[in-house]
Amino acid sequence: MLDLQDDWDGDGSPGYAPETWELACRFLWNSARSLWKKRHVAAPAPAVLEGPGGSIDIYWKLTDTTLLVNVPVNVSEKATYFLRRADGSEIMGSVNTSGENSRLLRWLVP
Amino acid sequence: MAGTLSTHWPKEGISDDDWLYMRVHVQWLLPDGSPKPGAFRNHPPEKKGGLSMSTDWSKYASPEDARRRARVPVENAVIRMRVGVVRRVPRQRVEHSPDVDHRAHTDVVGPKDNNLEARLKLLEASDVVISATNPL
Repeated sequence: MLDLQDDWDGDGSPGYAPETWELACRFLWNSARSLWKKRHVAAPAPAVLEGPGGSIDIYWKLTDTTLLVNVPVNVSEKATYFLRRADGSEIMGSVNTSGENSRLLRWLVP
Repeated sequence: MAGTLSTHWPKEGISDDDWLYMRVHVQWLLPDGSPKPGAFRNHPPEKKGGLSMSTDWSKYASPEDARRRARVPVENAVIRMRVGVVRRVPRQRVEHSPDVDHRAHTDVVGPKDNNLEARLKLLEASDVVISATNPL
């Protein structure tokens, strides 16, 4: 992802900054570690994907739950998330990317 | 002296039963060939204040037409979305916006980058009609 240059898709999408990538990885690592400390369960593995405008998407598509988290380019902004369950229930909001926070991952494990 | 004739196409209403086609660059595809959530973003950024996603209306374009308009067609898949389903995605509207040389051009207008609900619901509303591995 970090090798992608500006306009890599022919539609004007910008490349990805190392700072955004590091923030996404740190957020993911801290969340998984927090979940392990509190519940002693491993977090399901997400896909870490190119997001719009240089942001990074973290995407879980499980049997009964889909969760999308977007880590913004501006590291001072919160990450946003949207969760949808097979029963049709939905949760959306924003979360700090700094510090430990297992709230989102707790929704993904039994 | 011969001049160039240009036609300004009228804006038309679009039926819920029609399709929208959108090309998706191979880098926006998952290994199984389906789009990543990030494929549903507003582009190009300069149009409608960066709040529109360009598509082709099935009345005036085929999936092949949509693919041919890419800078490198062979690097693109084409997906389709039912207009009525797109209209039910929160804060999105479908607007025919023909260009002189592109009568099918239609915008899906509304915030997407930070509207993760819209991106996931557009993803769920889509299916691939030309895969990126298809020859031209």
